[in-house]
Amino acid sequence: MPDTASVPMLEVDHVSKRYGSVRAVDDVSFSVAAGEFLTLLGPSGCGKTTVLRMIAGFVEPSAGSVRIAGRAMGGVRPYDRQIGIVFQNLALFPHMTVGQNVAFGLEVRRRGRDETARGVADALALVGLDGFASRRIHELSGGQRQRVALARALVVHPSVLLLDEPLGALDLRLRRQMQAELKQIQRRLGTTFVLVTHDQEEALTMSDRIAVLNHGRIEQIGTGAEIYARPTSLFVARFIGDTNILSGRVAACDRTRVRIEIGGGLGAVEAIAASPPVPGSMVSVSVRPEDVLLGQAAEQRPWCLRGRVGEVVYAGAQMRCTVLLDGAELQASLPARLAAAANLAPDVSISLSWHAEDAWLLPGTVPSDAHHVGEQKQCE
Amino acid sequence: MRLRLPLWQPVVAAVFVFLPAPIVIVIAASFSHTGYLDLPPWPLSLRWYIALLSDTEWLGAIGTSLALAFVAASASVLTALCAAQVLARRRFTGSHFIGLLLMLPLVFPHAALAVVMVGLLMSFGAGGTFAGLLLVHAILTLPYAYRPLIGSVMSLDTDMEEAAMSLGARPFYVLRRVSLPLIRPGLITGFLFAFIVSFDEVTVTMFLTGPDITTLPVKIFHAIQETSDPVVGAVSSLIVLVTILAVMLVQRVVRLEQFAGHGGSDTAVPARRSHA
Repeated sequence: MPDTASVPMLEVDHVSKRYGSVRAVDDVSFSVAAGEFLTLLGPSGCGKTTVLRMIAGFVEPSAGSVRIAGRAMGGVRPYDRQIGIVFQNLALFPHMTVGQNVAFGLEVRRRGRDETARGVADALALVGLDGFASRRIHELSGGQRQRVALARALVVHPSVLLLDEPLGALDLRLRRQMQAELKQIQRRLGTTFVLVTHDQEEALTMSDRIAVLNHGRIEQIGTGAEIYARPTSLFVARFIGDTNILSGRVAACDRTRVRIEIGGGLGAVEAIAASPPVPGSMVSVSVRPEDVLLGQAAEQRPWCLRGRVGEVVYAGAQMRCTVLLDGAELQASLPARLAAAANLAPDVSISLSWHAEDAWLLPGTVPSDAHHVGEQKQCE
Repeated sequence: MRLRLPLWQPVVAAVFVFLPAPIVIVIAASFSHTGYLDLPPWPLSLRWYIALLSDTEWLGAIGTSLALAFVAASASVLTALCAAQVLARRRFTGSHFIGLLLMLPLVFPHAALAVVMVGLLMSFGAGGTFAGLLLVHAILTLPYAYRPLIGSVMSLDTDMEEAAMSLGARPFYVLRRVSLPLIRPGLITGFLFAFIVSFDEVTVTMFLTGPDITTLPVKIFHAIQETSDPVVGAVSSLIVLVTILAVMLVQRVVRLEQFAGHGGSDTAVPARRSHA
């Protein structure tokens, strides 16, 4: 027996999947510790569902291997993998009752009548559906079906639970509630969860770690905070949360603190880089709307850009505002009370800046048509 | 758009009168007392039904037809199920062609098919045997079994089979507990249609029956040609009855399944899966 504390519950090792000449999944590696909640996040077509289906055994990898609890899964059929799946469409058995659906996995394993009944009752209690065992599937609401699917998958105590966009069909309010419950259940059971989603908010709120996928490759893997604050690529920066991207040339750098001359003569800004960049190279700066300083707060900084207020949108606690630089457009978001003080109104000329620590340097540039030569001047 | 031509209503009425008229006439005449098909049948009598039930030749033909229809329908449903399982899920070179081939008995001229089958069965010494009839009926009923089945199998959500598999169920268990119950409407509809088609089949069967074996419709044909045995009226009425019962059964099964929400049409969530 391998030491379960040191062996990851799930290892995906240099796995690729090719369909003809198309690489649906390209050399993907990650491992998930026992009891961890990992999310595969990416736009549709990024290969995340294919990765999930390879873990489940429905798709055989073209290269690489999958290990569950230290055991290589090559050639192991889905029914021998001890995994659970919750599908996007739930795939509940419509010809069975709620209780029969949940009991399915136990009956397959030929557990006795008493053990099966107890298992079903426990699983239904876990998801808050006590007393629903004799209901038909078509009598249930969307959220209740969700819970049945979860109970059915968890009743057999899978070593890994795979969730393929299970909340996609729910409305926003119910989705938030189910996210919280799912997370709670996962913590309570200590089961290893792997979730596939394209919803970055869902990924951030639920996961211990997130793997961001794009074009069949993992762009970045890390905690939500790491990925949000320190993205390693333009794709990740733009996919997770809202951000502003400005491209320019490295003008100077002091270790990882970098000064960048923005294209089109907009001025120079500061940002932090993971490692010192090559002076003169083309780079991009990512800064989150909530980190953009406006008006007086910006003018107190050692540097600032000048622009014009575009749209101002009231969004409850936050005020969202567009600042038009020449050709470029930045989103800023600030607490409503600060916005009132800054006297934001469309067409008003305004300064903007940020703390270097809040801006993050990324390799590569965005298409240059976002910026034009302009006459904005750097203020003193 | 509604047609407002005043002539339409009588035309439609005439269709509804003349379409079932032969059936009504046959059934009515079967209760006649006289020795020939007579309208109106008066006085009413069960004479020809009694004659039918005491004639071993007629009873033999009925038995053969029922047995043949049952076995042929079973065989073609089983074949169609295997074909549908493959053709609904896999696309390969020739899969489209195989689908067409299965529907071919529907359009292939039955007289030509009969000539071919007679030659074939004779060369195996199977002319005029139950096995020979069974082979031909299985072929002829295949399209009727296949059509409803391929529909059921295609609408079957493969995620359900995968969910069952992830819960530890092996393929045969999945088939028995998940797939078959879900395609039951297609199975029953396919079976009943195949049964009716086999039970009513005349053209090809006529070439293959012999002194030892005959089916009910063929026996009726010969009875009408050689004599004017009024028992034919009673037999025909029974056939009509069996057919109507079978069709009602089909309707009932299909409607019940829809009510119970089987077949996944009632799921509130999209049945699509993004192959992301």
